[in-house]
Amino acid sequence: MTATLELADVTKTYSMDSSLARMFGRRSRHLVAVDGVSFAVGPDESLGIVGESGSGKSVTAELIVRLQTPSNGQISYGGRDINELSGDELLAYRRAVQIVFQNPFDALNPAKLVWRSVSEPLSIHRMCASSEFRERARRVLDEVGLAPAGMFLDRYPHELSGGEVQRVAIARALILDPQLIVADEPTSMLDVSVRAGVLNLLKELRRRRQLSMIFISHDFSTIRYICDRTAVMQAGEIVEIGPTREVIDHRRHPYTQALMAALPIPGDGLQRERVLLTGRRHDPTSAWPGCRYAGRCPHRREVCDHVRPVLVKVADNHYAACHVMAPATTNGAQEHAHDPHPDSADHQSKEAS
Amino acid sequence: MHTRDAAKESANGSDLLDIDSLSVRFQREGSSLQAVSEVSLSLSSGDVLGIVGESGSGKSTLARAILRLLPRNAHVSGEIRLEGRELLSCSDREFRRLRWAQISMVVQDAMNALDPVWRVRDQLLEAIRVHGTVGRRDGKDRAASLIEMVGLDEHVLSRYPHELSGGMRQRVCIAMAFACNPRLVLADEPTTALDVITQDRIVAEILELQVKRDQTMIFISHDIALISEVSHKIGVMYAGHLVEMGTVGQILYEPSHPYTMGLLNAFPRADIDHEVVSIPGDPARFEAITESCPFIERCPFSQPVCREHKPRPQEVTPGHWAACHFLDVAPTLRERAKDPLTWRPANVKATIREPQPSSSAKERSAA
Repeated sequence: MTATLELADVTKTYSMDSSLARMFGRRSRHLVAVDGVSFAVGPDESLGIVGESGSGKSVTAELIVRLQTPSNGQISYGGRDINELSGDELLAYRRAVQIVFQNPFDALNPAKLVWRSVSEPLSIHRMCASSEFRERARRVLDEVGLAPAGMFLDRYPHELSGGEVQRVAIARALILDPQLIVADEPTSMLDVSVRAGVLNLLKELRRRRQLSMIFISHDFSTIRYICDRTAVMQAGEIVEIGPTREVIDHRRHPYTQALMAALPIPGDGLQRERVLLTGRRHDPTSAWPGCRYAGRCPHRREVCDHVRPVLVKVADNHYAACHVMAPATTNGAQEHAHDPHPDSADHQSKEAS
Repeated sequence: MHTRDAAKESANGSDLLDIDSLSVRFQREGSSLQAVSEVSLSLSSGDVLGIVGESGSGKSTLARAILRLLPRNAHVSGEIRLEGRELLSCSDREFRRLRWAQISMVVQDAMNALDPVWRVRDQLLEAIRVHGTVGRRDGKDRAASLIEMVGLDEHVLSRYPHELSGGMRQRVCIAMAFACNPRLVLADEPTTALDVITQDRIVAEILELQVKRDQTMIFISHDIALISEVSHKIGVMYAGHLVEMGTVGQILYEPSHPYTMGLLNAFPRADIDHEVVSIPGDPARFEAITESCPFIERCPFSQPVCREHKPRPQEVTPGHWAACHFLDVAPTLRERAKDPLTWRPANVKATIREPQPSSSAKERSAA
């Protein structure tokens, strides 16, 4: 079963009311975590979702694996709404789509031997006789680079290093032969030299198993390494989406530009111009009608306060949602020509030399 | 080569901080753990030294040893001199007067560094009053100006830590670290728990303060890109050893220790496409380190001599030194280190198990 995952106008809001407030008929308050997100991930494709903490990227991941249900909109896989699946169809979906979490130590039961954790999905989905569990676990551990697998089967998570435990978690996600892996910051907790190994493993698995992948990160450098396409999320919305290199090298949305500008690049030293975001972040409980990035945007205009921008095409397969649409920036050259607040430029761009 | 070291080249006055052969050994029941091994370094006033290394490389232990914050089972030897004054032999009472007033620290986990039941103002005031020489009324003004200095609004002063975001809490910690105009500020992964945008702002603020006050700092991180941006000099730590030290340019463009070469390969970059190569194996376990090179198990270039003798730090070029037996062929190794095949686990293990003296001879003649 190879299919396309499609999100259509998916929204997730949480009610902020206490039951007491509702009793007294106070105006209800909602927190908008994900708002109108649409994208599709086809077979053998990898999509990166990038944004700062609180941008809604992890909620999106949980909606996709049905750990949460959307308040609005539809998530479909192979044309079927995943939230209407039940019984065998739901089990089939769960087999096809697996998730890898950020902290592998939280994701594995500390009291279970590695081979039991890895083979547990087989027993849940009644995939094979229990006598085969150990052998299947051994095979998949080999595949994720924990070799010889015999050394890891009978260990507990605490006996392994962070990189090894994350590989165990990846092995568990793979044992049901999924089509799509949702990886939620799988390398951000890992040590530098180990992180590279896990990134290469994910790349290799994608190639070998023709996996689709949704890779969530706040870091453009890992996204560039793993993903064909990238969606940039800000305050619950996708503000820019397109082929990864296009989005990074010809970024159009001011938020994408700020995210890239915030990344230290070795060797650039203090020559790198800082674009410091000042102003307030969007409050996810407010009903602000305008652009949710306006509060921090150096290019803000009046229209930004009243009308929410929608995604428009800026190049082939490349979309961005901005009224002003900052000129395309390429690496190393930040444009400031459209800065509407020249007198505050000192605060916004500092060259701390 | 646009790095901070260029501007700092000339400033080579008297040393503010001098660490000589510092070792830290943790004693546990029946076993001991060498967390820091004979680290020597010196820092001039106004210098920012970045220390980079993986978790468990001993970089935080080094910082805590300087501040004498290690638990009782830690045995510290060597010398640490701040402006000529020996810190390890001070009495606790004497050292308490130096701590925070002369040396302060910004830690990674700002939530745990702040007292949850104290308002921000009171925490700042405590730091100022206990360690500084400020009266009650001046203290309040001081707290206000400190909080402003790190880009926070004055109303933050009357808040509790849990009411602040991670970035705001980290700023409060930075304000506290700079509160008493210390001679030396240690920053131990101050931005690791934050996302890129907040990290960038906080780093910019730290740098601004550093430049304004010509503050001497030690900045610790596992992120070599970040370190190369904030530091004048970089020290690379591996398994408790300082294996290489040099200016930012020297470390980035002429790495001479195989570990540094591997580390530089291990980072994906956002601006260009390049293959990321991991260093095979796991960081060395401390018990295992004997007389051999600490990096031997993961080094693709290791030779029998690496097993028999621990390399001593040697100068590569002025201001740049590394602890490796093969510094004379470093340019060749650098070339080989760029090839991902070099770092294949099989290659690394093969060299360790079946040392090939012939390839060593080849390298030497190539140099």
